[in-house]
Amino acid sequence: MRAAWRVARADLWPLLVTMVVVALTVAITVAVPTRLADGADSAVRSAVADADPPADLVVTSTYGPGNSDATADASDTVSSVDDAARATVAAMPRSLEPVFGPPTAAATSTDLGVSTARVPAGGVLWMTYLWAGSEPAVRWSAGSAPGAPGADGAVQLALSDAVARTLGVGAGDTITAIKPDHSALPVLITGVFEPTDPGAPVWSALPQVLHPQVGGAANAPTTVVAGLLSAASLPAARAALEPDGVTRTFRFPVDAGAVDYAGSGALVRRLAALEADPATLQAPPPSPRVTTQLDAVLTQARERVAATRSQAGVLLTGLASGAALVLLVAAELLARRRAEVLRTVRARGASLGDVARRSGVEAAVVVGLGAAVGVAVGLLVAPGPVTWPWVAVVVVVGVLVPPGFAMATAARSEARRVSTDLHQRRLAGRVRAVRRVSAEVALVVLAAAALAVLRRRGVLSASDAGDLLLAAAPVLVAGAGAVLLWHAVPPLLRGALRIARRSRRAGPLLAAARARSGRSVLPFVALVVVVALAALAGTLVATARAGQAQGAWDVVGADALVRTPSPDPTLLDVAERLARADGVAAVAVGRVQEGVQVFGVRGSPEVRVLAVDPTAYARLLAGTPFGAAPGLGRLADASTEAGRPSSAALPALVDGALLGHRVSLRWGNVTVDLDPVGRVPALPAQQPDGTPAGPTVVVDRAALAAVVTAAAARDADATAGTAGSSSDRADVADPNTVWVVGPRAATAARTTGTGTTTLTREQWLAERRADPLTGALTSLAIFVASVSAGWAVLLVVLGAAATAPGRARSLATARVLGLRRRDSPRVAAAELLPATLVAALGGTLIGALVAGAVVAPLALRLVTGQSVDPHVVAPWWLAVPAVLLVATVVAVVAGESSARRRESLGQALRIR
Amino acid sequence: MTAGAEVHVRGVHRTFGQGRSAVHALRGVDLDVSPGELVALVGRSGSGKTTLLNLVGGLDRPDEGSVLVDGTEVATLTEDGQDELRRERVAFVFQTFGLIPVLTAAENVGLPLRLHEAPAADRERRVELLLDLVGLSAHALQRPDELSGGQQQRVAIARALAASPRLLVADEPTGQLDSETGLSVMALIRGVVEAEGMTALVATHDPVMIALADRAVHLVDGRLVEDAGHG
Repeated sequence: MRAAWRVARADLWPLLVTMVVVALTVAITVAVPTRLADGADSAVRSAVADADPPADLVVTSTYGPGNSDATADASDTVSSVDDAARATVAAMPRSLEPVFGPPTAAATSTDLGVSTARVPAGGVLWMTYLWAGSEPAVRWSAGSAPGAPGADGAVQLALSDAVARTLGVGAGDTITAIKPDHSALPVLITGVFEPTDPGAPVWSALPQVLHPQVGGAANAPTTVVAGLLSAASLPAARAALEPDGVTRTFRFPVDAGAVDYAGSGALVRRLAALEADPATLQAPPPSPRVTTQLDAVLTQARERVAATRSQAGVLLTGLASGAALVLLVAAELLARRRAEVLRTVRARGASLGDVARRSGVEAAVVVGLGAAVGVAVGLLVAPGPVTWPWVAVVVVVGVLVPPGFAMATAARSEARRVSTDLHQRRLAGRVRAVRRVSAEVALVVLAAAALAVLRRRGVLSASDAGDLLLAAAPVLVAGAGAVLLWHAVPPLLRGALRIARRSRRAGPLLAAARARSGRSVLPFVALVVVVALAALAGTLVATARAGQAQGAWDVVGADALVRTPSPDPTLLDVAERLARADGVAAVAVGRVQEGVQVFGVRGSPEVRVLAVDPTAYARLLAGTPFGAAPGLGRLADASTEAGRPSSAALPALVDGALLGHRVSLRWGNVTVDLDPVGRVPALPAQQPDGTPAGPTVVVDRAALAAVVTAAAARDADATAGTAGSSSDRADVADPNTVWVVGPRAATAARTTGTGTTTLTREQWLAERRADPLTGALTSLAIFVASVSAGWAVLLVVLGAAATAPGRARSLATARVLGLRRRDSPRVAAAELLPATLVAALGGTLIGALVAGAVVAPLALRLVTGQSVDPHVVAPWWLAVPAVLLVATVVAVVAGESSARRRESLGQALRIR
Repeated sequence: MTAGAEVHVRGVHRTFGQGRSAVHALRGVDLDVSPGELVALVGRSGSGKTTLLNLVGGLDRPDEGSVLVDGTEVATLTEDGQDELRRERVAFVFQTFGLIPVLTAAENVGLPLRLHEAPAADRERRVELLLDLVGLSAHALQRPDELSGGQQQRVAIARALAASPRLLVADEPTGQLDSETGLSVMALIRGVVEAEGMTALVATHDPVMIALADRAVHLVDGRLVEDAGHG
């Protein structure tokens, strides 16, 4: 035991390096999965909370034709709605109880037409009975609650203040609702109310009860309102709307906080079972249906989590591989330092097994301690379950590698170092070369196969169980690249040696000769791989951040975007106000219409139509990364010529696929012939909700209005002989979007008032970067880049330590011969720097190239939020590892020089 | 042919360590060596031979006393001065040969000339000449680990002669060689010292080497107990 400690103490620092590397790697492999699991829970909850429409569970049931009784009293409502809701709650599977809150029940009529003095046309009325444990609490500002029909036979209904104001009616008024069969239904407004608690969940079942919804074109608005039935008035409403004009819904609100990633898979399966078999919930007959977005939302969220895990798996595999390489180099150094001891031990009769056992016990102690510290630190940083397989891999590598090197060194020590027989030397060299080439070819083939599989299948196809080949593909490619790069080193050093030999001076010769003879494949390959991993992770981070920024432009299309739910001419005023605002450089207003069908080409594809003022839009694009768009100038010129209200085709910029075709598009009820005058310039590639925009057709908004109006007039002439006036069609190209660019565009856009939605680039970017999964992955990539850079520094130190004794001897000899002291650090630096620089620069290049090859299969678009794969961005700070490694070499040389200063030259040469 | 250096050592003390563990390697050594003289330094292991050679060669400094090489006080030289002394006037031959393993025999021999920044052509000529002198022209491109011990020591001697030093310091030059090889190396040293006219101070146990020397001096426990001319 004491002897073992003595041996260990002599090589304390390589053992400490091993322990630190094991501890750090284990800590990371313990903490990262827990952090990712936390991120996965947050992501799932966010997805559920942000679902639009909400991911509630909705049970829908009609009454069935002929099941109403106008004379029934409130008990009929209680049994058919209130009690049915209670029965559904009771039938809710126990496992779903924590996920869904108490239901809100509603019995709502079909769409009824309504017209009043204030809403002469386009009015839609829903009559609804609401219940959430009780009927909603209200304060009557006029009249009273509805009841059974009076002598007039009218269905009795109550309206909220807001709805009554919108319709321009009050308590005691009777309005006429138009049923789907166009027959009239008298409705008596018995009272007008204010909700006691407007925020009560019951109102969310049908928000139009409190908030009238006004939409549609400015000159033909649609007004959707809802009125409140009571338990007493519902039976009459049901009878009036026979057959089956009232539908019951039981809405169970989802509690996002009760959902987590681990339980989400089972939850999706249970929800699917419920949807397939609504009877489980004992929903009232005759035709109950269970619907929810929750399973789809969870499935999407799980896919994103799985993608993030796969992406993180690639990074973690790289990190662990880097650690394994450091452990290998540390073990090699340890064996090299102990070569004499091992030779002696063997000479005394110890078997290779004995050597391996002694080394293994020492490694087990060192690695065990490191792993224990790592687990403790990992749990401290991120409390949670430990991912033991990762820990086991690190420990196994750490324990097995040192005995392997010790045995190899001990076995080598029996042979004569260099055979004096030239033939034997050449033979041995050839055997070594064949072995090396075989291993290298195997590695290159494996790396190529892994990369091919990764590029074909993508990392998202990796199963939870592993697909280690996919995760390890970048490391394998980096390793293969490192091996190939290794072959460039000898010619380089030979060239340097040739130059040094021609020199007059001793230093260059000494440095070049030592650099050439001291080269060792393992430290070099390890260094290239970890630098490549640092560069890969760094490139991925930079690519992701740049992609997110580009994604923000793609989604918003400007610094800020103001939208209305439907085309609205008032946006022209909004645009004018924004154009005058401080810090606004350019404003463009337009109509964005998705899903417009194009004819005249195969498949009649759907396109996005962008109807803009070409000049203003071109000015706006010039202030964005999309840049100048000369095509818009051509469009403006062509549109001016074609602006007359004639039969001329509409000038348009179209995708390349549409160029050269006689194409037309359907705009409302009118077919518009297009005159393609050029290609669509670079434009925002996504819709504001993040979905891909698809092919785009850009037209002049004014020209579109003119052409559509003329075409509609011709159609009207042809069919009815009466022309609709142009003014009737003035809204055909009303805008629904305003784009704003400028340093204070976002601030200005936020003040556009109600009825509009504002989306700013900064806001989108901030939300994207704050996303738990995106944030976790980006942080992990930064961490992997930093740790890999740390591994690289360690490898340079270990590599220098391995060659330090030989360097010290050579420099001591040279010093005895008269080499100046100040020259010896330069010689040492010149020896170490070439291979280090080749490894650093080559590794950086390999890392950036690997990043380019794996950006698409890694599905980085999920991180950037883009609809397409982001462009690879290699940032300037990829050079940091190279600078760091040069600084490390300088520090190592200074340290060695300082240590040599304490040694007597006379002693240095006595013992060989 | 270069003139040999004159060496005067006066009252030199050198102690390693401190307190009770202190080792007094030299205790007031006086020694004079005339130019062109080959002096054998004889004594048991630990008697201070190597310490004295290191002091004379500028690899170490005495705690007390004076070491004059060619009129230069080595004890008070700066580090650069010591470097220059070794580069310009003193050459070494070690028991362990002291060759640089990554250089070929020719490169090892040429190293002192590179430290002088001699023109490459002159250097190559001189290296060729010296390798021929020690009988290793055919091994010029071999590395030390491809040579036998005797060959390595011959390379070391050739290297020692390369910059035409005035003083040759040799520490047990035949210590790792078999008797036959050692004999040839000793003869070589004797020959080149005479041929080049240099002064030589050789630490040795070997009676043959002692016999080949102009005189032998004995060191016992750090003291020079005998300084007798012979042969």
